[in-house]
Amino acid sequence: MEWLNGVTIGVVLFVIGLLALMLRRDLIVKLLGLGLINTSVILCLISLGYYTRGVAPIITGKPGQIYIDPLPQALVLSAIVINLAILALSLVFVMILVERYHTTDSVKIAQQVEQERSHDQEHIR
Amino acid sequence: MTQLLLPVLFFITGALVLLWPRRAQLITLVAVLSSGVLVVMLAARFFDYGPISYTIGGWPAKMGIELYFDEIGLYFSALAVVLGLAVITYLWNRRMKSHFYLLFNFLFGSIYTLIFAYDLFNIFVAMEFLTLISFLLIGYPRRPYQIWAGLKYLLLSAIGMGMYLLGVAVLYYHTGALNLGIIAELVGGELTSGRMTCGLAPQYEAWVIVSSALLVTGLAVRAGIFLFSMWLPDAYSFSSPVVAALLAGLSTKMAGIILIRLAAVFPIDSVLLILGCITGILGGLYAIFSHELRRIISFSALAQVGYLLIGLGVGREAGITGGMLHLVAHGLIISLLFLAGGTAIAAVGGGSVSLLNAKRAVIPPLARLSLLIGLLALGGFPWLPPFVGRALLSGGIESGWLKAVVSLISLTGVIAIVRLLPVGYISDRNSPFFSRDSLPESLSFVVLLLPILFFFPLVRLAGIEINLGDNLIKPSMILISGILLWHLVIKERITGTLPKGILKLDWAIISLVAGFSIIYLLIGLL
Repeated sequence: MEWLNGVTIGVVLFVIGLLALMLRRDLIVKLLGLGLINTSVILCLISLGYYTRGVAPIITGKPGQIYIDPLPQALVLSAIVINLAILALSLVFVMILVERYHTTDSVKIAQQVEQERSHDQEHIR
Repeated sequence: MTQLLLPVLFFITGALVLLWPRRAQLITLVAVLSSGVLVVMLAARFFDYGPISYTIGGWPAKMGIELYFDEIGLYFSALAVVLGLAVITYLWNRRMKSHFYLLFNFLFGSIYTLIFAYDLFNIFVAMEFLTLISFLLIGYPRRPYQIWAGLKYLLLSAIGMGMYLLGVAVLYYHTGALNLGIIAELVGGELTSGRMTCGLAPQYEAWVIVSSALLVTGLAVRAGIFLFSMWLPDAYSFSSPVVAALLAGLSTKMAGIILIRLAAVFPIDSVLLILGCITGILGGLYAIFSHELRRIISFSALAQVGYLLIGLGVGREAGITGGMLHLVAHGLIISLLFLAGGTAIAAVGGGSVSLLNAKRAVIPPLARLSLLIGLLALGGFPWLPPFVGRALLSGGIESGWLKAVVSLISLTGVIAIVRLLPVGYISDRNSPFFSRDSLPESLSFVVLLLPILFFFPLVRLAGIEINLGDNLIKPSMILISGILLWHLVIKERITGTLPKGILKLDWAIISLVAGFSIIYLLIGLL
């Protein structure tokens, strides 16, 4: 079972997220897929920095200990914050669209947006 | 030290705007002017001592986050100062909400971070911040189609940046470094030596191929390359003119900078060459088949990225410098076109080519002149900026088919703009060149026109030698033949449009994934 580690699971999750983004029309499902992609990348980063039987990178002075690489963990913190911001912002914009069109179907929204734009000649300012 | 000061300055002024919303314009103007002073200081030191490196936090060199100022930094920070000034003056008489200026300041903060960034993760953070700011700017007046365009942009670039981060993870696992200088030593040294000795394509490790394919795909989404960034036409043509100018002139150019930096490290030159040819020709074709001013400009922006990629793919000194100059020049041109086009469209009441040509007398004369100069420059008129970069670029190309492709891209560029040229005819001389109401707008056109008209002497001043005389005949031939072709052959036949399905969200995502697999295969094979 050595192949079953964080990296392979992360890659599988990444592909599932991509498939959700490509194949599903619902905007909320698309955003869920995006969240899956971001989380899978974080999982990959964390598991790439892990050594078997390593301990948390806090220097205690005990001899003979292997510390886990602390840099990926620091990177992941910023990545998590960024992903949170992106998901929250896009949910707000989806909310505005849904309030207007009463659907989360991306194809229907795109059609209605296109209609509205061709009616709206004043879109220039 | 000054490298650190520039981004921090804009983040502080952004916070000041929030505290003191009534003086937002003034604060932003002061910030842009003082950034100009700082850039001049940096440039003076660069000309005396060469590239300037600064590591944040007093770490030993290359351990901490490095900020690096070289030629790329010089050109693009100058571009940022000019664009900032132009946009601020353009907006001087208009009432924008104060949060627009907040976003403006933060946009410039993240742009200066990216210009100086030399660390892969630092680039990621600044890039994501730029995505968020640009997304909010695209949806600024909150019309539904603007929100939809912004959402498309956000989704596509979030996928792209996810891929980029995965590439960074693979790279970090194998090299243990994030600094591009160290990675270049670890990866590039072996690669170039392998190429030198046997003369055949060297075998790369699998992780080099995977990580460079992921990094290039992530950046291609942001850089405006056909197949990858199909958010671009909608975002450029639906957002308000100022936002379009900032987005096209600066925000998308940043990914181009990072591509220039990566091309020096990874074996991606032949892939970039092929992508450049594809985006150049397809973008040009879509531009020919568009019937609105802002659509034409947007699709030609896709085509113009092709020159940068071809320059990087050719890979010599002349190619890289030429591509970079072309990128800077195109930033100036496209923001002039969007600002002047915004004034023209507001005066006329619509953006279609026929309407603009019919009612051209209503457009203020200086806006009309700026449109004319910008369009001629896009078509490769000699002396005007993109021509200068192109001349340098074509000097570095040797193979025949590549020369043919570059000529073909220029030809499509000319054909796309020919039908808009009548806008520039001065039909009546009564309307005053400067009027009191439009003074700020005219001033901003002048701010952009000056570096455009004097681009060639400026480039000479910066120490790049270009021989204009040799390169004069072919571009003029292309220009004339494009105009003739349009009037004699094509004019009557272009009625429909090319398939627009690829601009839809689902197909844009699918074409992104397909593009990634193409890049991966090409890097593996070539």
